[in-house]
Amino acid sequence: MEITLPLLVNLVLNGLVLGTLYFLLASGLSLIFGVMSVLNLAHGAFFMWGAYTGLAVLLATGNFWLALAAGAAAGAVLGVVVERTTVRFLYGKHLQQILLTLGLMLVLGELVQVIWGPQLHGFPVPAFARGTVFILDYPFARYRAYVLGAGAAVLVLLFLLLHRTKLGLIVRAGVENPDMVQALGVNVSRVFTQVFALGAALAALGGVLAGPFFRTAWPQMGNDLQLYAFIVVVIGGLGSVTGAAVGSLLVGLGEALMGFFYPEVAMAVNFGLMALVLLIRPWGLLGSEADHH
Amino acid sequence: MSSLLEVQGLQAWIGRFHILQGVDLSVREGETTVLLGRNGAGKTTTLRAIMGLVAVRGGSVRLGGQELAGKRPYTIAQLGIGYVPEDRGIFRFLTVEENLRVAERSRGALKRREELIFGLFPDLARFRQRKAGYLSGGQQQMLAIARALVNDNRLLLIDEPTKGLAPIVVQHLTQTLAEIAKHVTVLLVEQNFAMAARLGQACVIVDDGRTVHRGSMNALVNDPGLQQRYLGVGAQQGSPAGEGPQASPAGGSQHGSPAGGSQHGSPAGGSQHGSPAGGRQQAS
Repeated sequence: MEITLPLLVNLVLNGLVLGTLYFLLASGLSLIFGVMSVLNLAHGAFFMWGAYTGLAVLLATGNFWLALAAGAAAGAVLGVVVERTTVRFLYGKHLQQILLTLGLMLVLGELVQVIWGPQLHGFPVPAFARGTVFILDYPFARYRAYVLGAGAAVLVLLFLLLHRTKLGLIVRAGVENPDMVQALGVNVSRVFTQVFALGAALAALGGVLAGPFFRTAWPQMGNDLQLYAFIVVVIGGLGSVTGAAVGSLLVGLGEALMGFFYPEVAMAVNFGLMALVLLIRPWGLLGSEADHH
Repeated sequence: MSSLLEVQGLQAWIGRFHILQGVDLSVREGETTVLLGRNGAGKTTTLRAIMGLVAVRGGSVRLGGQELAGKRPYTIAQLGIGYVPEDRGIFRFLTVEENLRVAERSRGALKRREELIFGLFPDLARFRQRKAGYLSGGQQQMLAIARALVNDNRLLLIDEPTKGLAPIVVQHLTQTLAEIAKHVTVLLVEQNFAMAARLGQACVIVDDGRTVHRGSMNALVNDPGLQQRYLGVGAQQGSPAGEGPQASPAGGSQHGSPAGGSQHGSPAGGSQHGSPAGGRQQAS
């Protein structure tokens, strides 16, 4: 097939859409690790629960915006419950955290099957976002354009939250030196819950957005995407939201372009990229070198 | 004068090591108390234990009669303690102003103290919007101290503020700390004996995790034998008996052992240079 500019533009846009989904997962993962050094293996489960909650609300009400809100809210609630009842007892205990979050991943994954069954569920594209738009005479699913818009909006909101609010200030300080933050009188216990809930809500929002993109919801969807999110976080640097954004775009673009031209090596390229970053900048593209030690 | 902080029989472990095995100290309201001792004696751990950053496993820590042991660091801070850690603990990727704002325990706290803070540290006003990581070592230390002044704290815990700083910076910092100490009670860990002598009214010496001496700074300055016993050779030669607590460290610090090798400065180095009030001898 001839490689034309419109084709390339189309592939890049698709890469950006994938990158948006990865970003929604990876930004929370990165923040949670950065602030409380918890590697949350159950993060994909929040994504998946968001998707199923969104689907249920969409089918019941037919309103996609409501589905988005419900999915994100479900993620936040799940995040608060998980942090308050389990994770908070294991801060600083990395091995136990891995066992715990791995267990949570399995339990949350099974629970969704108890309710909705193990099969795939069709996830309809909301009516207002059906059809295609043409970009440089090349068809592009209208829904994907919405996903791009949503991704940009989340990025801006997250940036404002981190740079214009007291919580954001504390989070950025906490990524650098959590002990000092609490020695200054900040109730880190409350901040940890908020950050965990925020990360879970972002992941769940990603799950709802991913539904119409894949046209399905399936029990393993969270785990399938979580792998990419981990690659993104390693590339971008743990604890850095900007790093998560850059890493998501790189992995998304790599996935879309390599998936089109050399599908058999697409995954290998992502791992190669990660290995390269680990060799040259083990703390990630935008991570901080000091935190790495 | 009543005692603001009262530590009794403080015990703490770091991992499997029994670091504090009975530290007793009291800090009187309005005074500056200097915590002295050799390297590894447990000075930093004592401050961290008071702050709740190291678990208190025995004994008591009372601030104005209220027990702090077992409380979370943020609760302890909220009771009115400002902490300036040994590594300064500044947030390098945040601006100077943001570093100060993290410490705000009430809305507008920084605004209310701005004049005081930037009056003491004009450099910080100048670099207000600069990322703290780009500040010099001395400016970072000023920022760490300024951060403890954002709230109306009753007590400041300051851990080796002169560590790694050039003599001229140390001199300046000493003057500023003396100014601060007029308004707030301070518990200071300081290796620079001249500075400790200038700032402290009372002193506590710890050795191997235990309090071995408590008294006035004046008495310690005038007792070379005591200095020799607990603080090593350097301090003895470093501060002639004639020099009282009010003596200026200026002369000494300029000739003292090179600032670079300062922190756990070679005790021999300083005393061999025979500087009068040695910039950096092994005071603890």
